[in-house]
Amino acid sequence: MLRFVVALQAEARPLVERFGMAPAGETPFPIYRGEEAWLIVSGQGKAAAAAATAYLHLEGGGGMGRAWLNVGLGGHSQRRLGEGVVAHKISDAASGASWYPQIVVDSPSPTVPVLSVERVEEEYAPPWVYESEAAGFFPTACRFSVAELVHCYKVISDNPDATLSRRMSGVAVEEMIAGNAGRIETFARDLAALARELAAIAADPPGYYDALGRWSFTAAQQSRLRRLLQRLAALDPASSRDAIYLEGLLAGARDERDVLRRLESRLAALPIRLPSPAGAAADDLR
Amino acid sequence: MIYVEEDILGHPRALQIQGRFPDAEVVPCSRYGEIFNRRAQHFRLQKRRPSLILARKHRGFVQEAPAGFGIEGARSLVFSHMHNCIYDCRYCFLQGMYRSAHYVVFINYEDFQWAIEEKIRAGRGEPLHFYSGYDCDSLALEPVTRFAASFVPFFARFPQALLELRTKSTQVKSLLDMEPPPNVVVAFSFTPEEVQESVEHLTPSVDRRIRAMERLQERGWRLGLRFDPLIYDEGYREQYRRLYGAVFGAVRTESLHSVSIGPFHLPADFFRTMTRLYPEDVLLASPFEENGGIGYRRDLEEEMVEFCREELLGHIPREIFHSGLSALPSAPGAGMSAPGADSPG
Repeated sequence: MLRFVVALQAEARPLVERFGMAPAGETPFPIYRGEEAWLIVSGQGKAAAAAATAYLHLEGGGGMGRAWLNVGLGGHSQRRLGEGVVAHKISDAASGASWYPQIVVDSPSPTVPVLSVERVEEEYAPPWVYESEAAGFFPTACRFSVAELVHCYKVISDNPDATLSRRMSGVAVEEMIAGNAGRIETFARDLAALARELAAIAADPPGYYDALGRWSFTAAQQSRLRRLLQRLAALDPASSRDAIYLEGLLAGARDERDVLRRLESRLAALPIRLPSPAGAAADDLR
Repeated sequence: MIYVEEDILGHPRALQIQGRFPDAEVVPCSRYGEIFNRRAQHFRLQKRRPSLILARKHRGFVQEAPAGFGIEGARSLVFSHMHNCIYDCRYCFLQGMYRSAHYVVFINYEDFQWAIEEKIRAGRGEPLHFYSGYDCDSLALEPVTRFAASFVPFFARFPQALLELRTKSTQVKSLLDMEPPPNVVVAFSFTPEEVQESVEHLTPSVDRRIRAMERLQERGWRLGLRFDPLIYDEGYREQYRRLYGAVFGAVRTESLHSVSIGPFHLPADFFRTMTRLYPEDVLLASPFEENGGIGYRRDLEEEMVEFCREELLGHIPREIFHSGLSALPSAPGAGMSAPGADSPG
């Protein structure tokens, strides 16, 4: 599931359309929801971005490990208007703090450092993207996910020859984002795929919920049960996905300890056969 | 992407390493800790595309090895010019120790060498053994880092000290280009071919490692063999028998400085982190138990160690077999791994 954070309604429109989202009704921040993505309009500034990010996290059920993308406009000393970029470093001009988004999927656009400033800049001394939200968005979203899934995509709206954003119409803003919507979508879908991978890693093993429903395990026993079922899934995947097999294995268990004992006995009887995938050596990859 | 600490942006070694990757984006940072091992990073996701981080190490260049590690009669010290490894061995403790999969290379080799020289001089002739290859593989990034090319000639000046380069790599060109000093040992880690293919992702094959050893042997290098960690599979007896046959069919015992075997051992918290990262992994689902750390069930471990030792002693003289080169792990200190915990090299 994707989470978008944008500052302006005009920035939201192309994404809302592309991902088939609809307004979520009366909320402190405008929110749009769809099957694969939710979006919040934060307003300008890092405090608003941080607050909106936290609000969307809670409004969306508080699930961890989602893909988060901040999309917005920014100024740059050299890049052309309308060009999209991905942040590889975010610095807060006020505090001097820096964060480094971890890019582990293909970036659809060049990567650049981003500087979050309090006021509009017209002199872009170092060749960074100047904007206002990333330093609020990024550390907040990282509280709810991992740095590999949290990113900022900025579209250049201002450069030394054209400070457009301050007098840009909503339509023009919309067009700038729409001009990058394909790349944003590719990036967002790659991140969403990564988030699904993370969810699969963290998923409960087959049989876990059924066992919790039938017996009353202590917290320590739950943790042991989970790992035993994970091991069963690793060593005997076909059987572990078979509800009847699990039912048979645990049928008649006297209590929670007996459940754990039966699983341990079963695991002790399973042969250890390491699978045999082969791959190229890293030495060959350079 | 290459992250470089700002104060070494102009360092010749940093520039030389960056020159190997002309298309990479260089991102300056204040300290490597801004990127490496931060909260909210995921080792498994990051391992898909790790970045290089060039940094300066400021302290703790050389550390005492845990008690019991090393060869009897010599003081053992460890040092790491790198954190993390280009390989992806499922048993490796680095997965449990770091949240980041990036490779940190400390480029101030001269500071390491000063610290090593100080230890050697303070030792006043005491035999000192220095081990590289615990927080990293000693040779895997050699074409980039030129670590061995710098440290081997350095150690050649100190015959009373011994350097062990521990590796799974076949990157031995820089070694073949120099005269082998008698006090440097190139120690290759091996598991059987079936295990290598299954759990040592991205590593060179057993056969290629043996061929690299042969080339070093022909040039007169002293070699080590580290059958570490011992990995259980229902066919382990036949697998290890075949492995020993292949290795000792190519490597002469006269070339060997030392041979060791090492049971699989990890600090319990590292192991728990690894099972969270790879819950579906067959190796990590093996019959382990907690006993001052995580290892194979005691009876299984004893059976494997006994079998592998007896088989090995059919190939080598007892004098070069050393069990202490794969000591039990101790709790790691800051910035230092646990030698003897299942390691990259």
